[in-house]
Amino acid sequence: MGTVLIVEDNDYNLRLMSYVLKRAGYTVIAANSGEKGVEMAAGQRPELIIMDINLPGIDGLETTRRIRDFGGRMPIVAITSRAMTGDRETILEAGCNGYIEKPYDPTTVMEQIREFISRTRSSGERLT
Amino acid sequence: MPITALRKRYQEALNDFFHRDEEKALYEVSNLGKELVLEKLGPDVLLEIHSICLKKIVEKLDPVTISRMVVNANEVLLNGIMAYAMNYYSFMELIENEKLKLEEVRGELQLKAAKLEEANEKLHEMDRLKSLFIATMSHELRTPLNSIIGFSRILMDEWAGPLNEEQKENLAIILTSGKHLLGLINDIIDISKIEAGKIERRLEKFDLADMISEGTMALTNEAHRKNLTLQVKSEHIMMRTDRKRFLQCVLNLLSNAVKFTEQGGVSVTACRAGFRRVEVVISDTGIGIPQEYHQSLFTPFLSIESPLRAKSQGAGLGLYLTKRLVTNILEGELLFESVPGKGSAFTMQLPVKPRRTQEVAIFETERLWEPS
Repeated sequence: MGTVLIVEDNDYNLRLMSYVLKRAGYTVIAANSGEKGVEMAAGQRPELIIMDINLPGIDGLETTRRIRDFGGRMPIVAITSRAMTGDRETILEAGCNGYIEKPYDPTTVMEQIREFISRTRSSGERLT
Repeated sequence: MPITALRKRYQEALNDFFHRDEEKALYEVSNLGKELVLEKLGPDVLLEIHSICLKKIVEKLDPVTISRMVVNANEVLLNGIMAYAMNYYSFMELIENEKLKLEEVRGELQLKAAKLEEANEKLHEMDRLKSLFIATMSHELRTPLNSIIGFSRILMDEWAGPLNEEQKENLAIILTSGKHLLGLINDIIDISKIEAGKIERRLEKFDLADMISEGTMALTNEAHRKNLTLQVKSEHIMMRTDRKRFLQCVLNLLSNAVKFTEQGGVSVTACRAGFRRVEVVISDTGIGIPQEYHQSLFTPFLSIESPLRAKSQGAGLGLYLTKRLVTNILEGELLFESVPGKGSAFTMQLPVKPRRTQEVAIFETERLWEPS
């Protein structure tokens, strides 16, 4: 099983997501800011990134753009609780491959992430 | 008196003067001059009349009579001009006064317009702040809810080890309350989106009976807990509308029906109703809605002042939101009938597929995952 990077500034939500991912069998690494996220995405080349959108400093969208700019092509799944009009498009335009709306059901999210990773693996989408 | 008639009388008086009674004629002429003035004729008209008369006098009379006539006539003319000038002056004064008043009013209006513009700007700013507030609050409120709901779920599902019954019950309360709070926040966000005209409609193909059974499934436990029957009768009809919003309406009406019914039960029927239209009726044998609330049933925050509030935990937004969703998003109608003490029935009538309107952005599908 691969490594998943979580970029999330809220401690409790970080703990919740890593709980879910660890239970699904992934190795979890975490960054509590966008800047750190870019650094870790470049240095550790995770299989998947879970990206919170509302971050202090550079937000999740900008972080995603920077990761894409340096050539990171791993799938990025956004976590958003805004769900206001237009967000969906902005999120996908920034380079995210999908998104999960907060609050999420841990069991459902675990299944979705498993499915997502197996789908990207089989379609050979992961190029990093 | 019209000017032609005056002119005629004036000439007749002059004729009198030439042929009969000189004194009477002069008296008439001067009276007529006054009358002409009273008619507010301008000096040009008086002068015209005089010049005609003088011509005739000159033709017929001796120099002495002429000079006397001229003096008399000039006196009349002068009087006329003087009176006219006086009138003109007071008229001008009146106009000046009116002008001043108008200036004053104009100033006031300008001030009011400026104030209005300022108020308008403030309103726009407040509207912007409201939207920002709602966007921010929805995020800020949902972030902690995420860990409340998520961790309760994890404990409930016994990821962290087995639980006893009491612990499970307590956790269920945390989970239900968390979801309730989430529902309220979502209602507020939906309403603010509808009111700002920013709600999206996402058309999907689905089976009506499937959607109805998903809705009723969600309420089955609660109905059983209250010992209520839950009857469902629905036709298989292919729909092409906003499934998520339709389901949301069904859930709102169903949970109201269950909430306000203590005995008997709730029934749901979904069937075809006319050309490319369907009808969903959700009826209950509950407390019903008092007559005085029938008019205002779909206004926001209704339950705050109503005895219904004692029963409901809501903010009074549910029916208002449902009505707006049915009319604005599904392009249908929401109707109801209710007899206090006997029960209520809510009917949604809507097209199988809404017309495309330009104001609403339409997304054909909604998927959680969007593989690139």
